[in-house]
Amino acid sequence: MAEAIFDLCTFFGTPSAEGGTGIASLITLLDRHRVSNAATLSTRALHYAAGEGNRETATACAAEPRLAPAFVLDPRTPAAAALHVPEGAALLGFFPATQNWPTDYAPVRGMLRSLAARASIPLLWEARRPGDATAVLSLVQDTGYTGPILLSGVSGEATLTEAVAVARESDAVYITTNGLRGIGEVAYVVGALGAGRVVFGSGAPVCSLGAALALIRHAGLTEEDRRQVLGENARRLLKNQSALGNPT
Amino acid sequence: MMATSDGAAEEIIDVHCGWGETPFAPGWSDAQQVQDLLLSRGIQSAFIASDLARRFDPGAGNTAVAEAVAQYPQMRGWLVVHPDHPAEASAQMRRYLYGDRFVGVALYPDPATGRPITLRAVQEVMVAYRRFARPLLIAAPSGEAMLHIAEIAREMNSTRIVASGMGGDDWRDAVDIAARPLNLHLDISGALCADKIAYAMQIMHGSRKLLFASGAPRTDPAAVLGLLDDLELSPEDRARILSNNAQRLFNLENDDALHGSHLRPLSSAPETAGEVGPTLDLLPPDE
Repeated sequence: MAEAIFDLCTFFGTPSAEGGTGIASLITLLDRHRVSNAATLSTRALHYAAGEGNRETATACAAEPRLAPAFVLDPRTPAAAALHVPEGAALLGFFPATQNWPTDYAPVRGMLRSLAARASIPLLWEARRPGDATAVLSLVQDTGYTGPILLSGVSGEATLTEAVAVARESDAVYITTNGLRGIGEVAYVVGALGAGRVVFGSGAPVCSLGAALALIRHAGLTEEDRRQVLGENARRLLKNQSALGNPT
Repeated sequence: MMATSDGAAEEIIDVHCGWGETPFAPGWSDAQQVQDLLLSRGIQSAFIASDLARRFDPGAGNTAVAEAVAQYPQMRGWLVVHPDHPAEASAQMRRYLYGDRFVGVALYPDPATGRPITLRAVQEVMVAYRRFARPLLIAAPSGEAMLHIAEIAREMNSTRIVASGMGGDDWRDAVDIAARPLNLHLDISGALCADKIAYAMQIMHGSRKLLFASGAPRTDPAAVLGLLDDLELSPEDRARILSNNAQRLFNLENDDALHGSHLRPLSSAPETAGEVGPTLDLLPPDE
């Protein structure tokens, strides 16, 4: 049976000499690897201006039904406190390492409290530095946020062990596969948490989609576990999301 | 074994693979388990380097590798030396490099500080190494490390040098730096980014200086092979990267144990172990 693959972590919009948003090349890549759906976010939102980039994401995903919009929450500006998120978010993302801010960061607490009062949308949380995953758990517990938390970018002994320990403390915590790369890492996470808590993400096109898929396919998972990791979990999480209303 | 577009078996040589357990790969110091896993990824031959030697104890680590490669004909070793200990390095070279089980010397950044290998640091060790006329592998986890490697390559211009890791996330700078020295080759381990291979082929005018390496067990070889699936490589380029360039660089063309019509499966057991492994069609008739 063919796997209906959902990639929870992709990017578009890296500036190039050819111009354009890069959505077409992302779609070509997904087609090449038979990935049926993906959550995607604008690199403009990640590296330059969250508001502009998130609007770019919304526009791109509205035109391409295979893509689900992931919006970047950037706590580094005073405007972030207003927490204006475009309608229709499938996923919200925090990227402390990429944007160079500490995970335990007062502006993030404010944003999470605001979010907790309005929705339980899944949060994709970059946790590639030691200590990030532990700090995320504290933040979520302190602010009362009840939505799913997807720890992203964990790899190797220090951060993977930490992320699994955090996920064992809270059923709301999931681990995405982007970042995993070593022999036995995928099998370890699935063995520790169950396949239902592991979600496929590639980080494409910055990171190789082919490499990310190969890791899952060679992880020695059962067919059922592989199906959950590669697509079913992401679909379940994004389907269950609450509508996110903005403050009036 | 993976197949080429015409259905023939694809030969893959992993020119830089680790040796030593991790919490997630607890069997990575068991030669049979390592061979079985590599074969499951389509890799028939591997050159292994001890993680213990790299991070803590060169003597004990190299001995463990010597024992493994003595029993498994399709594995060869990298002799790990620490340039800060030139007397020990020379003794290890004399002990292991006159035989054919080690392909050359491997150098890594300082395990305590991460300081990359520099020309000044390796000069004394390299004086002793030149006589063996073997390739030299130097880990290149960053663009800065590649700068030093290029300097070493220019100084040791008769030595074949493999920079392992393509500069990590600094791959673009690293490729630019590595393009010029004629004796400097790159293995494709490091960042799991397919663009770096396409970029290297563009800057280096083809695939002749690229080699397949996994860096296992810290990276699953399947992931590094997956990089190639992101690219539309010609069969010729793919074959060069996966094995042909390694055969040329390491003078393996006539090495029956490692490649060619006498190819044996990695999972076929060593004769000394008295076990019988699965057979492949490529086994010669008398085996």
